[in-house]
Amino acid sequence: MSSSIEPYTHLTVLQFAAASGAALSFLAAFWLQFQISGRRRAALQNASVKSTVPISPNWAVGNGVFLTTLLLISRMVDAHRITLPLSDYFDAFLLLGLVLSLLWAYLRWTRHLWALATFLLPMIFALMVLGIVLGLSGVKHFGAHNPWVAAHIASVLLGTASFAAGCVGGITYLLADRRLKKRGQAGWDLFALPSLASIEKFTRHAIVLGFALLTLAAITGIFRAVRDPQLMGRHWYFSPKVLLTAVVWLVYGSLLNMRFVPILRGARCAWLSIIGFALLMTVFALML
Amino acid sequence: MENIIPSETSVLMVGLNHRTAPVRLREALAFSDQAAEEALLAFKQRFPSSEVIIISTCNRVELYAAPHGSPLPTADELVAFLADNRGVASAEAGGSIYRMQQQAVVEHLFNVVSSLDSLVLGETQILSQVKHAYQRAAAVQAVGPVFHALFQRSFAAAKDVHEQTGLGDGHVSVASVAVDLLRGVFDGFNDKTVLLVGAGKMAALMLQHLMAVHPGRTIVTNRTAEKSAEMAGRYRLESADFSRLHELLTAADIVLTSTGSPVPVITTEMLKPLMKARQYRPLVIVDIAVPRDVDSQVARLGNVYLYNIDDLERVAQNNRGQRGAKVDLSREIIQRHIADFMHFLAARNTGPVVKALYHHCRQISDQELDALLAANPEFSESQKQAVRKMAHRLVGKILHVPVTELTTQEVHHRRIHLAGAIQELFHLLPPESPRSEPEKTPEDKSGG
Repeated sequence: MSSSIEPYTHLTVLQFAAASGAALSFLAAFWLQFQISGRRRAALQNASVKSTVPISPNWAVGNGVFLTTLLLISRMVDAHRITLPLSDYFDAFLLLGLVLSLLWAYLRWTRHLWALATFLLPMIFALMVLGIVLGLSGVKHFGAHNPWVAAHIASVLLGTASFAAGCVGGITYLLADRRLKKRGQAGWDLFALPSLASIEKFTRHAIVLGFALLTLAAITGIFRAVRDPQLMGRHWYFSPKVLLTAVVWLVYGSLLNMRFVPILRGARCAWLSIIGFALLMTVFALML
Repeated sequence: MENIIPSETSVLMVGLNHRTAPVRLREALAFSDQAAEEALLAFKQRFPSSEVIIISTCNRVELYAAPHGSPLPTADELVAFLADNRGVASAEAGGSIYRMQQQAVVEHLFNVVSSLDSLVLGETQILSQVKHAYQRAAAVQAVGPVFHALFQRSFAAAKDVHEQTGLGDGHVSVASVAVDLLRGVFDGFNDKTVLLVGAGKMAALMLQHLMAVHPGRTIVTNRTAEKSAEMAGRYRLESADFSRLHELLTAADIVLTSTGSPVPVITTEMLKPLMKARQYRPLVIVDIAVPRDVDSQVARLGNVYLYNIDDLERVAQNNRGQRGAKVDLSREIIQRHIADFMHFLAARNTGPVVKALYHHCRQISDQELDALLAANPEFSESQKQAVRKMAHRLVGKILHVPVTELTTQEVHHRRIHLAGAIQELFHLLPPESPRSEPEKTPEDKSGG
C-alpha cells in the first residue's frame, strides 16, 4: 500500500447497520423460500395450512440489493470517487454480493435452474457477513487508483463471484445426488432440484470463468509484486498467500480438465468446487 | 323513466371434450387457426355486441361468449353456430355438447386452464393453448373488457395452482415415475443410449414410456437371441448378443432390466471396472425384474443410480397419496379467483346505478349547500369548506351500506332487483344525461 494514499474512512454505524440489514435480507429470502416449500408440503397434508408466506422472497432480495446499492453510493461519496468504490474488503464484498444478486435474478427466472438461485442466497449472506467482519477488523486499503491494482482487484472480485457460484453448484449437485440415491424415501419432494447434468454444466461454466479471472488476477498480482518489491518482500513467492493461491489455481485447473481426468466427474467434482472455494476464502483470511 | 341498469353482462359457454364426445365428433368440430379466426369474425358479424373466444385443442372445442346487448345469443344459438360453422348437424353434436352460463362458465374455464379438467392432470400445455386462443380472439377485436378480465384471471389462477400445489409434478404410474427419475439425472435424451436387458412384457411396457423421451439409441439384449430380435423388430430397436453385455453396459446411459434370471445379472464386481471405461458417466439402472437382476450394492457406486420396482412403486404411491390433496388445494385456489372475478362482474353490472345514485345525492347536497351559503354570507372561506366537506362525508356515509349491499350481492336476480328498486325509488337518471347537471365535486370515497 502506498503511503501517499489517505487512510480510508472507517465503517460508520449507519453503514454497518445498512450492511447488516442487506445481509439479513438475503438470509431472510432464503428462509422465506424454505418456508414456502415447507408450507406447500404441509398444505398437502392439512388443508387448513396456508401455503403462502406474508412477504415474497423476491421482495427480501430486492430489499438487500437496494440497501447494498445505497451503501455503495455512500461509500463512493465518502471516498470522493465517481467510479465504483473498491477501496477495501468491505467494498469488495458488498460488490461481490451485488454481482451474485444479479446472478440470482438470472437463475430465479431460468425455470430449470430455479433451485440454484435459492442456494445462492446463503452464499451472498455469508460473503456479506465476511465483508462486514473485514470492514470492522481494521481497514486495509487497496490503493485501487493504480490500473494494475484495479485490474487485479476486479479480476479477484469477479473470479471469487464465479467460484462462489461454482461452490453453490457443487453443494446443489451433492444434494441432488443424495436425493437420487435415496430412491424415493422420505424428503423426496420438498424442493424441486435441477437435473444433475444441468447443475454440472452450470458449475463447469462458473469454474471456467472463475479460472480465467483467477489466472488474470495471478498475472497482475505477480506483476505488481515484481514491480514493487516493498509490497510483499523479496521472497514474495514463498508467502502463504501466494502458495495457497497456487494451490487454489491447481484445484480449479484440475476441475477444468475433468474430461481428461474422468474420475473427477460427478460428486468428486462437486466436492472439489467446494474445497477450492474454501481455500480461496482462506487466502482472503490470510490477507487480514 | 329511462332504464339505466345495463343489460346484465352474462357469460355463456358451449363445448365438448374428451369425456362427452367421441374423437370423431371432436375432430369434426375442431378449428384450425384460420378457421377459428373466420368463425370469430362471423360470430362478431352476427352478434356485434358480444365478446367471443374459441378454444380448440385435440381434447376439447369450446365457444365462450359474453353478450353485452341485443341481439343476445342463447346457448342453443351458440350450439347451432358452432355446428353450422363446422358443417356438422346440430342434432348430431347437440347430445355431446355441454352448455353453461355465469359462474359455472368461470369455474369451468379456471379448471380447464389449471388443467384440472385435462386428460393428464396437471399438464401445462393447455395453458399455452388457451393463451393462444385468447390472443387469436384479441387480434380480431373479439375480446372486450369482460373476457380480458376473465381470461387474464384464469391465467393467474393457473399460475397459482401450478406454483402452490405442484399439480403437474409426480406421476402415478411406475413407468412414468421411472422417466421422472431419468429427468433428474439427464438434461436431454437425444445423445443417450438405452439398453434393455431382457425382452419380457414388463420391459415392453416400460420401453413404450422410455421411447416417449426419444433416446438417441436403444439396444435390446436377451439370453434368447430370437426374443431380442423379435422385440427389436417390433419396436425398431437394435438387437445385440447377450455375450456383449460388458461392452453394452459401457456404452449405455440408461439400463432397463427385466430378465427372469434367478441370480443377479449385473453385479458390483462387474460394473466397478466398467465405470472407468465409461469415464464415470452417470448410469441409471431401472430394475423391474423379480427376483432382482441387479445386485443392490451397485447403488453404492458413484454416479450409478439404481431403482428397483419397489422404489418406483414407493414414489408412485407417494404421488398418488398427494394427488387428491393437490386437487383439493387447487380447487380452493380457483374458488378464490372465481370470487374475485364474480365480484368484478357484479361491480361492472351495477356500476351505472351506483354512479347515478351518488350523482343524484350529491346534486341534492350541493343545491342545499348553495342555498345555505347564499343565506349566510358571513361564513368565512374555511367555514364554507368545512360545511362542504361535512355534506360530502354525510352523503358517502349514508350511501355506503346500500351500495355495498348492492355490489356484493352474489345472487344474480336479487342484484338486478335491488338495482331496479334503487333506480325507481330515487328516480335516477344517467349522470351523462343532458337533463342532469354536471358533477360539481369528485366522488367522496372516504365516506363510502
